[in-house]
Amino acid sequence: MLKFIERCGVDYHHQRQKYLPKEMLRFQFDSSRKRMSTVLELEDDEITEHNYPKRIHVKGASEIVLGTCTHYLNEDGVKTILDDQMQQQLDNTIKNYAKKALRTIAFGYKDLKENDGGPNHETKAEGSKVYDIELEEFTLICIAGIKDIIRDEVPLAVKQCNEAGVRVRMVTGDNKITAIAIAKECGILYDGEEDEQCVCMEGPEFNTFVGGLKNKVTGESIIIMGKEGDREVIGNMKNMITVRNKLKVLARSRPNDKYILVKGLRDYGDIVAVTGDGTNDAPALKKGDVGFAMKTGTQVAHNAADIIIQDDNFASIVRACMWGRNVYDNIRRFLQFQLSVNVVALITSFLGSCILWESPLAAIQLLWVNMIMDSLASLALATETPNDNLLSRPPYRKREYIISRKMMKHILIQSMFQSVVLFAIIFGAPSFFPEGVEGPGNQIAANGLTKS
Amino acid sequence: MNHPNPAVRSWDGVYVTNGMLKDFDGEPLYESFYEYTPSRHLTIVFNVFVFLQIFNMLAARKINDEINIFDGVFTNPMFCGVWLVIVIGQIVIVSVGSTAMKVHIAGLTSQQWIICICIGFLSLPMNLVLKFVSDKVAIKMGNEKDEDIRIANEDYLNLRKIAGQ
Repeated sequence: MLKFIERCGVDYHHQRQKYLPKEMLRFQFDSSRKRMSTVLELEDDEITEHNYPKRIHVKGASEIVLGTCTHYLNEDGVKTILDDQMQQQLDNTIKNYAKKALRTIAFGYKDLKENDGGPNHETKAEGSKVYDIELEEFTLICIAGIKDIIRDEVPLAVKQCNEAGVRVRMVTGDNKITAIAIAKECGILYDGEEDEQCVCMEGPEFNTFVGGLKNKVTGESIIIMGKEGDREVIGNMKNMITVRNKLKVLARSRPNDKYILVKGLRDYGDIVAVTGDGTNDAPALKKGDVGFAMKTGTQVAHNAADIIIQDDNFASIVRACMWGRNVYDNIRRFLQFQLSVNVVALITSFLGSCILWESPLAAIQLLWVNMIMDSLASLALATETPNDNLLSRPPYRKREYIISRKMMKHILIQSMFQSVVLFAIIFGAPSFFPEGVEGPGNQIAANGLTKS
Repeated sequence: MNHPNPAVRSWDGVYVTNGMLKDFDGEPLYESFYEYTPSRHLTIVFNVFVFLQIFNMLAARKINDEINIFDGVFTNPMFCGVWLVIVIGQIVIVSVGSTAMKVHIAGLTSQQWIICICIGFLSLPMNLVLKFVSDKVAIKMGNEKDEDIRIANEDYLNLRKIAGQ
């Protein structure tokens, strides 16, 4: 937006200093308000409608701001009454923008009267987040479409996620049409899929469908998420499972919807990774098994998250997934190797000692095997780098044991085999090992003995 | 059976080779003459044991029953380096470790070395054979239900089907 102003030849810093009083009145953006407004103090020579030097500017989600407008500025900059025909035209524009994956923002202004919405213009209705002066009689200045450029690597990353057994769902505050267009560009949604039931939902629709969040004990609906801890339950788990299998895009979602989705998926037994950048995402980020915050996100989001993505790139999540699996694999490699070695060493030393009254392997030799060799080997096995194969197989299951059945098979049978080989040598060596009685080795040995 | 101790030599246990057993009748017979070099026999046991592990280490890089265990081995210089260090370390220990490492003071003959390495190598073919054996031969660890595993697999296949569109 600032760049656009610069291109129009307006010095933004200068304007800001001129119009914004030091103690300005600003109603901050909030995803439930979906708008933000600022009250400007005008210079004396500028004329307003009501001879009062204050004017409020608002920007926000287009259909909300449009709903408060009664006038608009026409091509010549003249204030005109917003009639039905124009309203229709504007609605169509918004829809068309949305279909092109543009987010629409509307800008409006209103000249204030004295004592409009209280002496400080700060009154608001009980329980409402919207201030009285923000409610009506605005003049629409323009509607702008903002495009989030989708990075080239995102569609590939989504595909990789699917192959790796990770479902990608998009939860956004945008309206449904924009969300669907973006999801299609990312490869989350395929053509013709958006009309299927439960694939694309809007926040409120989702909330009623799954029955909201309820208190397990009292059965009352919970409004403030995350406070009740274990007592929170999904209202309608059966519907939640339908959603879990189908849902790809959740548009127009409020922070609570995101939280309920995460909670529901976790209750079902899925492992959920949540990404987010806003303060509102914090409860969901905390609720997820892993929370990814974008680096550009707010401090609150950073604090709630487990991992902060430094380059703000979705593809990094795929890499994180790959490295995570690699670490797990490395631990398994090491375990499989270490356990086989130890089992063989144990069987050989113990059984050998029992039968021969002397360990076939000396303490110092076991020291070399266990301390040096195994430590080095585990180091080597733990530094294996990830490869793309890691992303073409299913994720580890939640309750999967770190020593899989496959590993157990290798550990047990391999060590049994090795023990058999070793015992064959211990008891039968003379029959298949040339002892070298006349060899130089024994000569030296004999010499050594006589000298000592 | 060329043991310096006639008592040991005359004993008819087949697995007694030089220096393997201590004097079992309590009093050494030729105390001034008779001292031990750790036996060549147990040196071989030690050597084979280590070489079984050295070859098993190569196979340990792949834990999902991939057939080609050498795939991408050179992308990890650390692994190659450590493997070489262990092999060289083992050769040095057996050759010059002497009584300090409880190996025969003259090491092994080249013929014995070859046999040791060949037997050690057997852990690789064994590993390969195991890859074709069903996992069901081993016990299952943890408390996961078979039903959960089946559902998880089905879920994954569904997702792959969606991704393949």
